[in-house]
Amino acid sequence: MDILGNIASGLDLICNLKILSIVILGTTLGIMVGVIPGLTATMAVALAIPMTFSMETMSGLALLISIYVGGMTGGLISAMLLNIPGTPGNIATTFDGYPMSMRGEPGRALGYGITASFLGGGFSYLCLLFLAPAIANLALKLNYFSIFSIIMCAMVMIADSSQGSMFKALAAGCIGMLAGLVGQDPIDASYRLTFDVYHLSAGFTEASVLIGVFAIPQLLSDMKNVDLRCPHFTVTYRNIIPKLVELRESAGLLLRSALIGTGIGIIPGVGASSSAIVAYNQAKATAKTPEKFGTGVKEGILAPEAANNAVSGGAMIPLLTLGIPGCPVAALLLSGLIIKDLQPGPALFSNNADIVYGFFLAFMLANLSMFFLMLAFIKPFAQVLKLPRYLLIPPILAFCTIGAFMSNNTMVDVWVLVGFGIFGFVLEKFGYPMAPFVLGFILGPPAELQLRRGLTYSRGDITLLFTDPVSVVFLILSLVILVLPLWQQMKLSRRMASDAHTS
Amino acid sequence: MRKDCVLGFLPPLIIIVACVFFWFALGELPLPRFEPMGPALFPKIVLGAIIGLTLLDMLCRGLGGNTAAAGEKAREGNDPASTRRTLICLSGFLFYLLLLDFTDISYLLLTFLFIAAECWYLGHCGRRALVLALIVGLGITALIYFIFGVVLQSFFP
Repeated sequence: MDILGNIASGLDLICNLKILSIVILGTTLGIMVGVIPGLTATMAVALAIPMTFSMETMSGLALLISIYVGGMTGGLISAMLLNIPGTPGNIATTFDGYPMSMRGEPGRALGYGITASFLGGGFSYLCLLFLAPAIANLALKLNYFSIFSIIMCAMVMIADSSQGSMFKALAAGCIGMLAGLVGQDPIDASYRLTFDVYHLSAGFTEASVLIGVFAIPQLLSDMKNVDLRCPHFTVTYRNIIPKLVELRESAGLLLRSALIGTGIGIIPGVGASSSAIVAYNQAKATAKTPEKFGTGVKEGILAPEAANNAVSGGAMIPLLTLGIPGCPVAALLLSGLIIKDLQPGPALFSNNADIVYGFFLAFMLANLSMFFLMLAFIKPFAQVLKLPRYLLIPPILAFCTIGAFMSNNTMVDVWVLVGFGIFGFVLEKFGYPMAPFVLGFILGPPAELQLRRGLTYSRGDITLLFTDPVSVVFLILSLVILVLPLWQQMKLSRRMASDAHTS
Repeated sequence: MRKDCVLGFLPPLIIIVACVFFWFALGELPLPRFEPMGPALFPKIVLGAIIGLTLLDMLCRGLGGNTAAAGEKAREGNDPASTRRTLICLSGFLFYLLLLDFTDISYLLLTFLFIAAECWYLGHCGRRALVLALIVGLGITALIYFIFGVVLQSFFP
């Protein structure tokens, strides 16, 4: 059967009131989960899997997909309004989203974020619909060293996009990596840096570290400035939805960011946080006024949001075509498929084409539902900024506590949250940015795994890292990103010195 | 000025000392059996990078003559009243966690008391703040119960 025929049979499966209501319910739940720091889309999908046991195949899959899509987008709300990213994929959103909100334009900031998420997600689902098998074969050609280089490039990029000293940003990234390496070694299972503490044997929980280093320093600084109020603003639907002219101006940027997100989503183990950072950096590099990034520019919101949502479609490509989950949520969706007796792989497309295309279309439906639900709730969301800070700080602390506890149902994770929070507060005070720290924490373990697998595969020959074409491209890119700002700074100081000499 | 210089250089020094300590802690790991790198090499590369980058940063600041800048930045905006308020709130939060971890008092009751007390204190202990704090405390505790207890059916601390 041709693609159009498959799409028609997929539409047949999902175009009914039952699926529609499941998608709306799932998206709402996903958004709620995404908004609360510490609750991730992964956790929500995991909790929803048992609910799908008694459901029909398409209904169960639609529920999981809509929770995933809602959870991926919901995190932008707390990132923009409170400077606390709901998910790791929203770290880059805080760079410009929060300053724009604090300038008195929270509706506009949320509008850009939601529209970019919708467009980025939509693009990646179209790729999923029409190009899935072809793209998956290309992605499979990447070897361990190429993936390692891509991860390293993402690390360098986030250091470059951080304010202040680049050395400090890179050091913060490496400290994060080190924190991510605590616990059991992924290859030969020996314990590292655990100092015989039982609770450290599984390492630090991602949610506790993420909330700790972002939420606690932000809340401590809010406690200091508790009487500070956001400038007066009014949110109307006219200023929420970006104008067509604005979108046309940024069409290239959105397309590039969605491509980055889809591409990175296909590569196993890299994830939404890297794609958002890479997209943010390319937006800054191609902007006419890159110095304005970080002050609340729309490009700084559009790029990361389009990219992080595009990851979801990208991650489904290797999952469905080859049975390889690219991220934790994809792994959960894989189990959801297997529970329904569907074995991902090339045979799935020929044996269960209607379900596969229904699966793709459910993503699109969830994306559409997310867009309208988020737009409908922008006004109440934005009112959060009007509340006095003294009424916001304690409830957020309570949500952070329960969010961290929920990861493993243990108070140890809550103490980890507090420890990392105070550590982050002190580091930030001394100019070490926290975004590279978190990215390092998330990307450290996969980077190590890829490097060690690569070295095992090449029998210890590291030269492959410098001869593989993809790897070389990303290493050169990293080097350019590292050296260029230093060279520009040297040129500037030399010019200033010569100006002073002539005057 | 001297105090700022010391304050500016103290964190990088602490980071370097900690890295050296972790380096030696990693030295006790078993040697690799079936793969060339072993469990200790990658963390050691990362530790080396942290030490190198921290030294480079210290060197750049030293050469740029702005050794005191980091210390100054760390101390800016530290007025005694707001620092005291932050410390009291942080202590309140830690006390709440200690009670959660080491006593059998109900999580929901403790959360209500914590939110109400902190809101009231941060709202400068006024009568209006007290009323709002009680309403917010009750509302948020009910919301937490609904989301985590009813919808997600999870355990409470």
